[in-house]
Amino acid sequence: MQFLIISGFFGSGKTTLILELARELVVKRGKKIGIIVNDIGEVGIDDKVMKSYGLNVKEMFGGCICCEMAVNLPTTLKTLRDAYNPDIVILEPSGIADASNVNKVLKSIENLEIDVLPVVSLFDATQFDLLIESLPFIIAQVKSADIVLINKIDTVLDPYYMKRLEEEIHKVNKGANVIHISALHKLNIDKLIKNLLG
Amino acid sequence: MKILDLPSIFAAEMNLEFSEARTIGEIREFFHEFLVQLFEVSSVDNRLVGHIKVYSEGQNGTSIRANLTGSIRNLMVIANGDGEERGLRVWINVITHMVKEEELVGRVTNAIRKFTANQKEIVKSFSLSLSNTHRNK
Repeated sequence: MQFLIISGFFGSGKTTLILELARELVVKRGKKIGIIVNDIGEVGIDDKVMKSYGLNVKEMFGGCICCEMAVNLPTTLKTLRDAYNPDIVILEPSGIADASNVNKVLKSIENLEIDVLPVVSLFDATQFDLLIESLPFIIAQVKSADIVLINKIDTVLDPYYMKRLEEEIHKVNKGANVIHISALHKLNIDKLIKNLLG
Repeated sequence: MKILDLPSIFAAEMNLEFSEARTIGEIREFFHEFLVQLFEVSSVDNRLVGHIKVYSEGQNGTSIRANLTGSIRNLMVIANGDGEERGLRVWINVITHMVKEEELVGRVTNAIRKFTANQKEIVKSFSLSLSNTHRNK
């Protein structure tokens, strides 16, 4: 079972990306997809949206998956495996989660063969400047990523601004593979899949 | 602009009963205006560091996904279905790093009450149930 973490701040476009990614993986690669959604509020919304698109979703509410909810992850994964036996499990952590902590939990799970795919962090191009200056966990989200996605590129017309964002990202994470996407307009989703699965 | 380290969260479920059956277009317009009101009370200087997420379902197959992050120009309402609805179940989640949680909960609750009262030609009745197990004091 492959495991894909798609982290990103609130409003970065995680749910929209996962909907599109899941559709592509099912239609073009014939994969069975399971999804785990972690909302820090108790009113789950992303899970309802994804279920309305016919996806297999398990919810983890009430706390952040990288800290207080981490203990529940192995059970949730096993439930998902037993119910759907997915090829790929996609985790949408809460907007404040640090994926490196989730990775530690995954490594500690016994009796479950998990192949962790490159960690993806998603950022809203229009908000990245403010967020990286103001919120320390944004830096952790960049650091823990193998692939950094700059989303909503359709709303940014200045190529110099985009170049500067890339430089900012590489200052924090030199080895990050940066891909420009628009999840809403389905731009470069195929490029992301190639980088994830080959 | 002051940014709080921890997010403040408003989470609630709402049941809406319309005064008469509403088309998908009318429902889409209703949620557009609803998110504008939520943005007004949860943003600072017309900016929202966080998100507003609303999801809604009706008994005749209507589903609404409404999001907003950053600025009002990012408001998005996706409506699916082609039937009419007499009522909707609505889930609301507002997260911000700009307003303290107690204040956010008060502001958003008041905004919802005012909005539904101002829409009395559309809304016959509503009930709001706040989720209060999460709190960042």
